Amino acid sequence: MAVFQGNRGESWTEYLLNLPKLFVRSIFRHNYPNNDVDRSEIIFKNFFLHFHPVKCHKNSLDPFYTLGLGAITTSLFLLLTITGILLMFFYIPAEDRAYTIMKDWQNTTPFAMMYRNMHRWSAHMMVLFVFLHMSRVFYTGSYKGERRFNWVIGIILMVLTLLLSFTGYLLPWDQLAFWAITVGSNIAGYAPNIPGFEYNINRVMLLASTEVGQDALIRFYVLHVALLPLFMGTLIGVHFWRIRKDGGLSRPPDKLRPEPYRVVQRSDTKESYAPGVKRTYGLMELVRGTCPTVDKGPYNFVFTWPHLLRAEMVAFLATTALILLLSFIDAPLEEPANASHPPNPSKAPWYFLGLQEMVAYNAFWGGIAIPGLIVVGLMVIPYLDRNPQGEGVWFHRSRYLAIFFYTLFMTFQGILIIVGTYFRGANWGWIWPWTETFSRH
Amino acid sequence: MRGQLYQIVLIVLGVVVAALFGVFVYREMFPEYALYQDDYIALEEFRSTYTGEAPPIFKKGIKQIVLEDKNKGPEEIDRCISCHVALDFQHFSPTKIDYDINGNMKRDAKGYPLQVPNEEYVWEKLDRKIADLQDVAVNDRLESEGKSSEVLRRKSLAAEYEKLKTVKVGGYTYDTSKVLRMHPLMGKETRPFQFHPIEEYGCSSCHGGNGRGLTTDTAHGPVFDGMYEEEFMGHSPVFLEKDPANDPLFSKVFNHKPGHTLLFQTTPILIGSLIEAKCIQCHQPTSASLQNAYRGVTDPSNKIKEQFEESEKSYQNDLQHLATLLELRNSLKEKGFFATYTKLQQEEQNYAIPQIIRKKPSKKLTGKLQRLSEIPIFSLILYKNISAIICKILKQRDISSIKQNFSK
Repeated sequence: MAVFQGNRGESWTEYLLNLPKLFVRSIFRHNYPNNDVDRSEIIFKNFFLHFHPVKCHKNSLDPFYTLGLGAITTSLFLLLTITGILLMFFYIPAEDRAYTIMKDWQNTTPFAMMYRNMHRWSAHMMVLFVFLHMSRVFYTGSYKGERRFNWVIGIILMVLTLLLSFTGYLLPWDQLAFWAITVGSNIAGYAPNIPGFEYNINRVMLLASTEVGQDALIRFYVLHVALLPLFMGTLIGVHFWRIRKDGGLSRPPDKLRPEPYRVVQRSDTKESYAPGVKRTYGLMELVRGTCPTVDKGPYNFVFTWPHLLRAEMVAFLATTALILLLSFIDAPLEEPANASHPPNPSKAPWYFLGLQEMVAYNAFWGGIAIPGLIVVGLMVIPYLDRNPQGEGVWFHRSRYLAIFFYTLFMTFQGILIIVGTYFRGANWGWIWPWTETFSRH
Repeated sequence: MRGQLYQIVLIVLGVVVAALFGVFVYREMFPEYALYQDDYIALEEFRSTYTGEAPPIFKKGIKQIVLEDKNKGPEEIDRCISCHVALDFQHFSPTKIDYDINGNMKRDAKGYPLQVPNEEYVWEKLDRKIADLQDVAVNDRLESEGKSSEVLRRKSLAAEYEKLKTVKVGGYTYDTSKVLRMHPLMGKETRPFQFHPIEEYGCSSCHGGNGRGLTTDTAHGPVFDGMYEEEFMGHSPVFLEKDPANDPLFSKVFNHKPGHTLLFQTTPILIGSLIEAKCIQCHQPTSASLQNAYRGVTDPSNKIKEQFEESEKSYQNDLQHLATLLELRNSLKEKGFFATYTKLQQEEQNYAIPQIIRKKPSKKLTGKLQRLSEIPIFSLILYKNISAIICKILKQRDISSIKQNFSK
């Protein structure tokens, strides 16, 4: 009778021959993902991929559903982080050095101008794409149901994006930076002061002083490179985690529902679906055996590796290509900051020009109250919208009123920004862009 | 299907991103200053063909003069010498100092060294060499001797040398003989930077411009006509006459701002008639220093004179006020309060009297009294006692002692 003798001890030669494989296996705990088990394992066991689900719905991969806007925004954040860290190696947040460093970047520091241009244009693009992504989520009704609070997190991320752009604007320490931040901080100064304080506490808290100077520079620098990115990264993590826990991206209910007791096979793709197989959050698919559910996943789900990852890579590379193309345009750098020579008009960064335009009518309402109400109003949208229909569908017919008001609001904001950018000249007076007095700022 | 499409798009995008990144790498690898440095090396090699000396050792790369700030502030950096590498080489100067037969320097009456054309001038040698190589007679002779390969070699060498004379950057052609040139001798200098060592003074402290710049754009600003692409068309001055041929430049570009393609100049470079503008900031002419010395003596004495005049004036003012008050006291004593009051009021409204008299200090007093008298309680007290109070106040003051004080 054969008795199990235990495994034969490994000889040294065998060990050495296996060593390369052992070493690779100690790093990558899965095989190359060319079969379904390993495609599952790579997502499950890889730290960098683990925030993906093993399988994702085909709808999430439809480029005409998401337009890749969230992925592009994330890509921009990654690009900004990478280029920002590289620039941090060369930057000194000092009043008398910051500008000369910008000049050195133009001339001597290798690739610094490329990084700076990429950083600058990525920042502008990120503000734009955050708004586009928000609009996509609104128009597809993706904030409904379980996703309500994720919309609120998204709004906070939007505010953080604006703050990051704003704080970064000061760092080159040229005229453009100095006066844009002066305008921006003056807007903050329109918030009611605490009685008994000589200077507006909000403005002083922002600038660490009564005017833009060295104190403001170091404060903005720390906010820009440490505090706000930390908040941003954490909240992006929460944003993604909630999407994952809500079962992937929003989508309309499946049109084809597999019958619960019969294995069906689609005639076109020959994919077959098991009866009653639902989404699980563990590695619980049966891949061996003879029962009907073996090797069958939930309806219309495909493996993340390679489908979703490929789509994400496409979004990332497309974004990188766009930003590299934009980087052939040099980021603006004007004269060094000069507190005694204000340009007329002094303009905030473009995404705050809507605000500045409103401030021109009424400082408190335009600069503080209305923007505050806008942010709060955007946050409460999922709690005001009681229409359960239209989730995951672009421009659902039942949501025409909501869509109308959102579009109206966004168009109005857009018009304000365009007016502030192109139609305002000296003393914030009205000018026509094609006339002689038009100035670029 | 879609998967394949994604795969293709992914590959295409990967190639695009790599290519775009490659463009940036190319830019880093071939900067503008390297073109001039290459030309310089080629010129030195050309020079060694006829002098027989080995070309000097030259290390390519960014070259800079760092002027440390005394107070540990940001240092001044001039990178001009990255392109202008031949600033202190005699063979890059079209002129040289003249020596007499004994080897003594020839000087003019003021002691400035005399200069004669430099036969060692590299650019002239290059021109002559090119002319030699392109000499039609020689080439024809060689051709007739059947040495056509030799002719070809000569022609290609001439073309190669011709190329050294210009550098093309961004659609503009720069004259290399202006870039690679010795710094002209100033004043009594016998070699460049004799009295102003370049390591000590740098370049931009005299010439202005952006010393940190490594391209013509960023260092010099606009150097060609039409390069000054103005974008902000501010308020232009309107002249009664217009003469496009002779109008000064400022009448055309009065408030214009450079376009954003031209990177901003921190300080403009000083050219043309302004090239010596910075000299005077340290070197003052004798007349100016004399004037300063004179001002140093006369200013304090003028100040004392002014102070004396000031006190004289205030003394006269006070005397006048005193006289007015005395007059008022007398009037109050003799005519009583009401009579004085009405008289003063009449005077005030009589516009025939000069303003100085109408606006006398005593008027201010009556004005105050009137305002007080409009309050009922005060009016009672005032009307009874006012004349007595004023007389008392004035009596208490020893007028002679006041006068003595003033005279002091």
